Amino acid sequence: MKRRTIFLCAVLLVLLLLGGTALAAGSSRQIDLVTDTAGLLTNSQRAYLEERAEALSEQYECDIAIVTVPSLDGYEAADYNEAVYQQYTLGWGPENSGVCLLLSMENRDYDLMAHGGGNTAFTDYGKRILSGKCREYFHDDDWYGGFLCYLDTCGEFLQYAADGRPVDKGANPYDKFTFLDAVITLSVCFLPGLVTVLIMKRRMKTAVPQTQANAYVAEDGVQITESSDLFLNTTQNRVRRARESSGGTTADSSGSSHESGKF
Amino acid sequence: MATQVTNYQCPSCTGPLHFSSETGKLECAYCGSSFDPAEIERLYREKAESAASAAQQEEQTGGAAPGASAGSEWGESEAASLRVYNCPSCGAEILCDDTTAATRCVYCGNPSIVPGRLGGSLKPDYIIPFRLDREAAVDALKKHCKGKPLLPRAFRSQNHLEKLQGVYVPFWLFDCETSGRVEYDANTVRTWAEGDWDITELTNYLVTRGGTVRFEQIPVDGSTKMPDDHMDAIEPYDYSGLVPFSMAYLPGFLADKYDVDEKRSAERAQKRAEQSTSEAFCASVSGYDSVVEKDRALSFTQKDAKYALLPVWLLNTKWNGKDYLFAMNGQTGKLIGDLPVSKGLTCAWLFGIWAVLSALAILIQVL
Repeated sequence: MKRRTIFLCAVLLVLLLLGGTALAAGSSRQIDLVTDTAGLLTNSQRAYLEERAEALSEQYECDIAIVTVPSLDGYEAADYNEAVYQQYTLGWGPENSGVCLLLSMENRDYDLMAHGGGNTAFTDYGKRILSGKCREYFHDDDWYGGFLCYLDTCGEFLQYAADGRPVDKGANPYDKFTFLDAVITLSVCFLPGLVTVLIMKRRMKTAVPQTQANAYVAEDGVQITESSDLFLNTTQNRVRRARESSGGTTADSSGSSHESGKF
Repeated sequence: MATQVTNYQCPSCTGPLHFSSETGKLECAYCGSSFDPAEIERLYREKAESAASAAQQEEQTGGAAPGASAGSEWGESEAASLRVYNCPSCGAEILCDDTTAATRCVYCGNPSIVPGRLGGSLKPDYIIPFRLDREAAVDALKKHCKGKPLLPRAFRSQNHLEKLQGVYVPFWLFDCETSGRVEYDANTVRTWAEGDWDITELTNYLVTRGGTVRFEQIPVDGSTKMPDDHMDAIEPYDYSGLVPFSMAYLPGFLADKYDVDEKRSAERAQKRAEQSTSEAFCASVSGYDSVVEKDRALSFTQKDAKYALLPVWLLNTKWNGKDYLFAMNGQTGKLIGDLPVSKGLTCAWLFGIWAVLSALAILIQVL
């Protein structure tokens, strides 16, 4: 507990020094929406991203935040992100609705967190798609491109949610029908036709020799006098179950949901 | 050996008699009389006996029938090798091979029975008389062609029946027993979940079953002229229709004597019996998810073998220069035979199904 308090104070100090404070109508946040403590962006890039994030947050009444830090100080990315979000009262409205992307440069960890109303627009499935799109840029150390992609995609996600069609499993507007999909579809569809024709062809050949004489077994003609079932061995195979989500958002006790990993 | 063929003549008008599968009687096509086969057999037996006693009397009085010396010119082996007979109706020569037992004169169509083929030790024990006529066979072939999407459309209209004949096919009916043991590899599969893990447990067993299985009257065709796959495929026959053999059932149909002996035919019966024994033992293995035969050690004992003539309608059709043979069980009406497959229709169905399914699948994915 003591360690956690010290950690939060440290975070507060760093962010106050580097991030500054911004207050917007409907939001009581105590830091900028784009807080680059890891120094990944130029001033002009950060200023443009801040402006863009502000505009989207106001438009959809949902804070869209970016936080970069040099290190997680031994904490999990999800815990760190949660602490920042709570400590600096990020979020819009009474539910503190928002989404926050945290990058830690030490071990290239990331956490994407949604809170309050943000959980509606950023489902578990949606967060995986969003992080996947951004990671393509981060993997090439294109931080500005990645953050731009993040903001644009957040805007799209919020628009889909506003239209009543949040991005989720079974409702993924980014899942385009590709050439590979067409090839797979055509290949798979060939199989039922082939099986049907083979069955039809088999029905044309009826002159087949008999291999058994079951019809001629005498009444009570089967007498089994020896019967043994001998146990030989047992083998066990253990397979870790793949996480299957039926869609929606799984929020923790604090009302937040996370998507974490490496970039 | 006699070289004179026999045909049953109508006691009323002396016209040729033929067996009717509909009435089960010998009928005269000229005066319309019908006779029970047993009655005709009795009449002919009496006639033969009186002829034999008359010949004996003539021999005792020193007289010789005209032509007797001509008959003595041919030895038994020579007569058998010639395979030439005189039609008792028109006098024409009938040529047939040494397994033909009943045939029809190619000149006058008179149904005749070749003597010696089904007599003595070669006499069949049983016969199943024809129950279905040639119209039923033609109808069955038409029905057989229905509901076959790959059958060339032209085959239905352009094929013509080259030959349609009712044949009594020689069969061996084996009573036998197999005994021994069969080993199976069996296993059970149990799956359950523990936390984030799916666990599959496979338990293997060696299962052994031993005992005996008795079989009654496994049929094996004893004619090399008949394709085995066709004769197997028209099984089973209803053995309640088996009657003691009588020549009187033959007129009007072809009949062959066997040319595959009992010993050689028994090998096919043995293979079938052993396979059925393994299946019967396997049926007693329960409680496993998979059972695969590993090894078998079975012995075959033949108890009895009967020689029977079973009714088969053979239909030959010709289409595109190729012969197609169909066989119909003359008792149950089961018809089999391989049909031609149209390459065009095969491709049309294959690509048609492919196109429809692909279009639907792509539509669902795009929308």
